[in-house]
Amino acid sequence: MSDYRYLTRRDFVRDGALGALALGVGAPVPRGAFAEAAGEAKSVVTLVRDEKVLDEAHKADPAVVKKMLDEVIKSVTGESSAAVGWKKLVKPDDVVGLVPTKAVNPTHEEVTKAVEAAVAEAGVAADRILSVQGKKDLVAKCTVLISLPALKTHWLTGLGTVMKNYITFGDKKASEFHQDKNGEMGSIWLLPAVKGKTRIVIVDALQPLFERGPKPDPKYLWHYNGLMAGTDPVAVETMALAILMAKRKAFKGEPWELTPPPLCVAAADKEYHLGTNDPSKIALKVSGWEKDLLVSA
Amino acid sequence: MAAVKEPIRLIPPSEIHGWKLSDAKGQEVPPKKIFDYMDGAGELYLAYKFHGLWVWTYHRDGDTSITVEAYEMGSPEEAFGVLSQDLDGENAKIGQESVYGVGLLRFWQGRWFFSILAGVETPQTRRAVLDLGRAFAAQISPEGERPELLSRLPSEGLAAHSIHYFHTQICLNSYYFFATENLLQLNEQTEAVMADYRFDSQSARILIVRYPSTLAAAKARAKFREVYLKGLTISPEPLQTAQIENGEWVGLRLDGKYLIVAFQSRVRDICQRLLKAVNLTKGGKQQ
Repeated sequence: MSDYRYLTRRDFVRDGALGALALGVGAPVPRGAFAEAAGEAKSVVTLVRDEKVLDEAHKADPAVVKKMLDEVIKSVTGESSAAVGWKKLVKPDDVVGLVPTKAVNPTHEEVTKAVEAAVAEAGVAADRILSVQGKKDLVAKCTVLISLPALKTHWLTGLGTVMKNYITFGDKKASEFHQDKNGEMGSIWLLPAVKGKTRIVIVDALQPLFERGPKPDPKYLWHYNGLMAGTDPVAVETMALAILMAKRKAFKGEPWELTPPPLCVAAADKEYHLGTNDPSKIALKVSGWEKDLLVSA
Repeated sequence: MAAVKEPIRLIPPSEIHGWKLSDAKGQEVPPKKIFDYMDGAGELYLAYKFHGLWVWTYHRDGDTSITVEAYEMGSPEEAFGVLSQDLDGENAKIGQESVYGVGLLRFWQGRWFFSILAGVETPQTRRAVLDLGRAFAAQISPEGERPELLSRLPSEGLAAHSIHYFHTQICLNSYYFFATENLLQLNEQTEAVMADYRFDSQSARILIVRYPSTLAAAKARAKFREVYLKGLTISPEPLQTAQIENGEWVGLRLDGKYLIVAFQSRVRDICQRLLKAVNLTKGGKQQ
């Protein structure tokens, strides 16, 4: 695709499947596209779901969240125990910044607390574990960032999950990354205070938002009951988009494009080289509750 | 457009079906503070000439809370504009127009837009939300109507719940993406309405924009043609149509201060029919 800052719908149309992915028109991800394959190394994205994590009042059960998080960490790190896995991600002398989403369908507090407890159990002192969302000065002090975005669409950026979770760390106002500029959100990940610090992205997909907002309309929220994670932020973002687009299609009964187009996903790969948005280079590992999975491994 | 009138001081009910008002003063959010209250969402209301927001919360022991947000907008048209972000839902017959679904009631009355949300929908919260809506609506006189521009929409085939009324590119882009550039040169002075149409198995969309001047409308058409229809064979005026790469037709009609775009249609004839069906004159004179 040519310069993403000067695009028209026709550019997406001409680009076929890649254009469809950028525009969020449908789910240009064939069944099995995320399957693990021999040969070329792939970015692994882990998805763990549990039918019992949310109650009817949308409250998350902390014990179930912890169990799911343990599974996520074991899968992402390849370790047989979550405790050992966390020790691969953080060291006692790290300053660890937790970055949950605060606004518009925020990250469940139970998820943030479970991660905080796990990091502490891995040997990081409490005063070295910081909540840094919206606090640029603290981010600079961190040696490790753990991104904890919630899965959601956003009416100003199309997708409001992984790339957007660092929008307050940017070198300009958040509003300057909106609309046609949402492709530039990947640049934030390359700023000195941020670059190379993100050890893992854990997406709270317990109750995602699949239509714009700006404030969440409950008819566009659903219990997906998932945690999704990986070390490649773009691969995780690509899967996030795939889930939302599949849900939108299921809701409408036909492809339902996302507007404004989530240019941030393709740009994070092609422009900023933060990871891959190519489905053929992503391996999805799924465990737990399988009902209405929307994507297939 | 109607001018802003005397201030209305809303008085929240102290209790509704067991839900008690937590603070009668509530929270007042002026335009400058809108992003403190709703980070990432304030732009929508600012795009509709937002004057202020009042928020009240209701609690009942062992139950979910209910939040009332009352937005004072610049005019009834703007209040409708905010509601038209999403008209899909149950008509609760509250205020001048309302939509209810899954614990959320939204309606407009006069120059006010209301959002009343229960954290969880139950028969009890539904009753409380709807009765709160009625209590607030009763404090405001019905004033104004839907924006006059909506009357230009052809009625045949119109999907009523798909109507969006707005001014700026930021809103257009959240409803339909033409381009990253502001090709239609939308701004606070332009008025726009967009809607979906269904004709048996065929569908299309239409966008009507009213510019402050005929020159502004002509410039917008020129820009749209230059960028969006670049390299395509365009039929001659008055109804200019062209087919884009996926087979869909795009049509343009420029008439005085109005630019009409018909799009997302697989059939050229539907584009042309829609463009022709837009009535731009009232009493023989363009508004």
